[in-house]
Amino acid sequence: MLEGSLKDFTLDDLLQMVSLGEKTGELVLFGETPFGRKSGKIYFEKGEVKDAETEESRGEVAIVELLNIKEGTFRFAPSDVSTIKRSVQRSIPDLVLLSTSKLDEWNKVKARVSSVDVVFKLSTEGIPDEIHLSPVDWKVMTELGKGETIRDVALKLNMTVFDIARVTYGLVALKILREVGVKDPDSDKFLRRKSAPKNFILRLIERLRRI
Amino acid sequence: MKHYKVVVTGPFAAGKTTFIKTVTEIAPIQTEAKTTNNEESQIKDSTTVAMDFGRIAIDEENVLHIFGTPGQFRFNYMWSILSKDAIGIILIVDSGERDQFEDAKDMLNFFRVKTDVPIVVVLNHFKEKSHTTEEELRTFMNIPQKILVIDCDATGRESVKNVLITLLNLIIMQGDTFD
Repeated sequence: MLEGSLKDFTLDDLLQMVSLGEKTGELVLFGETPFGRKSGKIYFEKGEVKDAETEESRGEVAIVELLNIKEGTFRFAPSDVSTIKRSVQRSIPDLVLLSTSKLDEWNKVKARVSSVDVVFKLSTEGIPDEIHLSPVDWKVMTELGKGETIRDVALKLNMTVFDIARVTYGLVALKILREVGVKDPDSDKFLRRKSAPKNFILRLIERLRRI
Repeated sequence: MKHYKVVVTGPFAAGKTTFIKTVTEIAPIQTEAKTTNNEESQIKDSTTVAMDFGRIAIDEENVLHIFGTPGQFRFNYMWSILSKDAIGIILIVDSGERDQFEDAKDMLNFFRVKTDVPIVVVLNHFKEKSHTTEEELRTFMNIPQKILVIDCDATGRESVKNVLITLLNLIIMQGDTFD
């Protein structure tokens, strides 16, 4: 068994080692990614990736999420993966390239969607006169409008956080959704975006009138 | 201590620093440098390069901070920094400087994209070379009706207070507060 911190081994190093050693087993990963905190498993058969899973996704999507873990821990243990169904066809270098391109796309999305734990509210202020939404857009908008996070909606709709974030990006750009705060994924505690209490504003107006 | 932030922005020499000086309760903190650009130095000797800072306190615990941005596009990295966590934006335009309306339009669009807090556009009539009406400014800058345009004299305390009170009422009306 091989175990340690991703400070000492990069994921690229690990994949190379497993691939060159033609290892069979499961690589368990846990850590921070640009898509939020992730944990998951990558299954290898004779050095090739056979399948991968995270809490929200499976296959190549899960690989993309896991390959973007920058800080965290890993554990590789040999195991029998013969019963696991193959969901990944690409080679390791192709998967690394795919995860890099997804990361570029995510960085663009992040301009409007800062985190997968953001909480939104529906807004009618400043929206265009006519909007065309796909059924998926509607579903995502409805769920996010209830105060769910991107992470929650991904689980509920059985989609990836990346896909939900991409839809959210469009809805925020159209000003249909407005960020109101962020939910701590561990404690579920809601932290309000910097906005002022109504009482503060009313007192400030009074103060200004007296200056 | 709880403090909230309003950002005052606008093109070069629109009256941002004056606006803050007029209403702040403390001696304003300014980051001025000598203008080196020929065109700009003909208008004024110095310009804000990082920010202006003013303050209005309700009591010891509750304070409004007023940050003024630099006007030139080359300092736009400060626009993003200063507008983070702002509760409202005031964009000042000098009524007599029609050459700067295009810059003001770019700034308005920048803040509309970067923030989702209420924005008011202020038409500063102090020492104006020529008069611009609200409707003319709306046409020049393509300002939608939902964004308020307010006439103001940045040297007049009542006028500046009126702008701030209008913005604060807008913040309440748009539901950007909590109970």
